[in-house]
Amino acid sequence: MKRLWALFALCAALGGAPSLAAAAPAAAGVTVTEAPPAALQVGDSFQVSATAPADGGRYLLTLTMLDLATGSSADLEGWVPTSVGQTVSGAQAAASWAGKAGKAGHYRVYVTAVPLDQPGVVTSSSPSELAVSAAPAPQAAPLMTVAVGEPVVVALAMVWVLSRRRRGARAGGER
Amino acid sequence: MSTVRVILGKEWASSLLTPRGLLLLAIQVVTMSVLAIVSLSLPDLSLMGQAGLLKLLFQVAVALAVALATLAASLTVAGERDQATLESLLLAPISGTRLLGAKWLAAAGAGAVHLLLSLPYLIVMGAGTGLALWRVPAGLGLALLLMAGYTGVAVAASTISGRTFSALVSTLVVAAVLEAPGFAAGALPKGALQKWLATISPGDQVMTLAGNLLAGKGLSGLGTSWLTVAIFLAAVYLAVRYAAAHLELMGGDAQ
Repeated sequence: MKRLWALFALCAALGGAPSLAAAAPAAAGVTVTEAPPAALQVGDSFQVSATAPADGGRYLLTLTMLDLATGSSADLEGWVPTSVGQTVSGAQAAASWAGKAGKAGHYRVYVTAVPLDQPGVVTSSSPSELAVSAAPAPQAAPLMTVAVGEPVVVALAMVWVLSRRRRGARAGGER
Repeated sequence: MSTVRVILGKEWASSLLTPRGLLLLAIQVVTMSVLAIVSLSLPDLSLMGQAGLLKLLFQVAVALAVALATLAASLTVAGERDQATLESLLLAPISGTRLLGAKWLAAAGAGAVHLLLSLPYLIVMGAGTGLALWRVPAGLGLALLLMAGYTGVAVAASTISGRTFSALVSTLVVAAVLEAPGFAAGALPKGALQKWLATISPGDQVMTLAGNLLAGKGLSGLGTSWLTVAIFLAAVYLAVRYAAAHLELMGGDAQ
């Protein structure tokens, strides 16, 4: 019987522990509700949304896009990287950032919540991985050929037409 | 050879093979060349992506071609009047409607040459984007609808106003009134008003249709755009008919 109870206690410990561990950070942490796509091209737009900890306090939410090659925060195109989130009447405050992938590379994206009202723990979300590949660029050689060649052709046509007109006018004058 | 063909050939030649016509073609080509070189050299433009650059270049090509062809078309009848050649043209055995129709067709045809000159730039810019390249000339084909509309407006304005400057100004006013809602819609946040303003602008709707083609999408589900373009062209046709009646009266007065 003792063995049976011991087995039951072991099963309860194994089954219960992870659920308790998973519930704890969700209550106090910052949660990314909309992560960027895993793969993007330069120029593609993306959005990141996050919610502040639901404890009634005011938080500064900061989005960081860490360039893994340089180890520095990437300069983000077209957004303000901070936002104040506040829990209002029980609802959890959300913040979102929209921007464009500006440079090819591998990035780690995460949101940090800094408490504003009293000293507390700074929390961060789980990071998302983001790979930005270079966008296809116009082919320089053919484009330059057209960009230089076509005005030359039109200029030659202009010279030809004008010389013909002048020749025609001279022939008319001689008659 | 029929009189219409003779007038069409004369108008076509004066639209393209005169110093003025060639200068307008040169403006189109040089502008496209400058834009193409800038798109290669400015790194900030890489944020638009190649597909975005193709769309930008397409819009500039169409807007410029329509503007230049409209400018030339607004001089057709008023220019003849200024040079005192209109009366002899009115003595030709041809109705006013056919005469203006020939001038309209020649002006739109000259505009088509402007679009055709932009095609190599667009094809090269679109290469490598995965876009089926038939979509580029097809998009320019749709732009011909806008070209036909505005050259028709210019021919009618040129006939009714009778003077080159007033023809030019009245064409610009018509274009501004028709296209301003589209520009306003671009500045507004998405909503019912923004959608309605964009809908009544023919330029915006033609660009929507062509933009769908260039984005690799189909043209189904764009009934409102087709309707706007059809109403615009029908209104222009009626304006040209009205102007033709006016032309016959003026011809009678002149005699």
